[in-house]
Amino acid sequence: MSLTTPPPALIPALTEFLLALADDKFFLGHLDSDWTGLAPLLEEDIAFSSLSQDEIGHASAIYQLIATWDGRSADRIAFGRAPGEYRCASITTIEDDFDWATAIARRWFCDHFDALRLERLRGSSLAPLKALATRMAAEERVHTEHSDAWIVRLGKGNADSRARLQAAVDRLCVPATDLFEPTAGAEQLEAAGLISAEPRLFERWKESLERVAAAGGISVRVLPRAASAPPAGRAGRHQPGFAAVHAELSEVFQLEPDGAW
Amino acid sequence: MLTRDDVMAVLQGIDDPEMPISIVELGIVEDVQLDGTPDAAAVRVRLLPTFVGCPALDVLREMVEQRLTEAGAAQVHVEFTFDPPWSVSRISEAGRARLERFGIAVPQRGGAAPGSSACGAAHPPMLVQLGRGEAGDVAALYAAGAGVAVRCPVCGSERTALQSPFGPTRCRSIHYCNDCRNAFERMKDV
Repeated sequence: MSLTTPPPALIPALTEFLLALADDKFFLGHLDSDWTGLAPLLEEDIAFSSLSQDEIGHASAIYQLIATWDGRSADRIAFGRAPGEYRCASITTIEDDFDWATAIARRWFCDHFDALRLERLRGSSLAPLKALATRMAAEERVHTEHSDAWIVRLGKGNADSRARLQAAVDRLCVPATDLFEPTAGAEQLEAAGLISAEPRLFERWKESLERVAAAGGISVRVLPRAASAPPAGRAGRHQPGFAAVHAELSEVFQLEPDGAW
Repeated sequence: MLTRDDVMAVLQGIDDPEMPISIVELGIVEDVQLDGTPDAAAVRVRLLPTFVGCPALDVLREMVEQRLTEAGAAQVHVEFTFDPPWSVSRISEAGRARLERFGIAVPQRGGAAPGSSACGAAHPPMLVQLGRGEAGDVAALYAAGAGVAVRCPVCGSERTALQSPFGPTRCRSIHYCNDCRNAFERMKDV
């Protein structure tokens, strides 16, 4: 069965799931765009900027999809929510302080999670979501290839690059598991076929990370997020770093929230 | 009154904002519908973005609205959709020829020629490449273009190498020809 609009009863749960996806991409894309003009090589500057452009473009497309049933404009959804209404995971709000290994490790954890998350949407019974996810997944493949190549390259570079990469991976592997915090009502969406269930989500993520880490000669130790863990980003409970990133990315919008751009 | 053929002729005359190719030849015009009355035509145009994050979409929308309004449409509604997804196979033969003349290579329809990765390996590019020295790295980083013989649009040689999968726009990669020593771009086969 193919739907053109979501069943009204499932709109709250679907909006939660899609906001988590879009907010992750929006914040990650915003942080990564800080590297435009500053990446280690000219080619990489263009590459990293292109990936940021993709993430913000993906986020924008999802906000526009949400806007078709939400009543608010895509811009209002993207920039005009209160901090507690954002659903991004903590790893997407951790600043890298211009440490390249941290920027690469942050992307790497998120890219592999996104590849799996988009897979769950490619079988959606909601036609416009399925079409969008299919196109995004094709673009996302380049993202994982890019971050995997950098993990291997830094891991096999020299003692300094390996040590810095290992430190970044170790530092981020706990906040990375916040990506797995379920959004409210996700099980209803699975039951209705709006997203596919993936019981092995964490195991598949862990396996793909470990395969690449082994190729780069580094270790990655991720543990599943405990079911008893306190509510975090998916419930709007953000780490202290969130406020600064949120203030920065919504700064221009807040100058004139009702302005036309 | 405005006919469907009139609308298509107008769209044929609109170039993509980032490349010298008609949006019809680029294959991003998915559907055109005429509603309204014979005297006041309402035109609905469905367009397929080449990439989700393409920054030219608003410009594209404005160009289509403006040109169709000038042609006599009372109302123009431009809608972007990802169903079906755009791919390079939608570029027309005329569009391919025009891009090649401009210096942009376009992948063959129905998939690129496989098994020709030796071109790049035998003639390493002159610029810095990421991951050089580790066969697996290069293959992974450049998977979108690895293993594909890319014909130089300037001299026709296939002794070319991928320089970067990330070009001046999201839908183009950068290559180098080892025969005529020109850098050129290619539409990505995504």
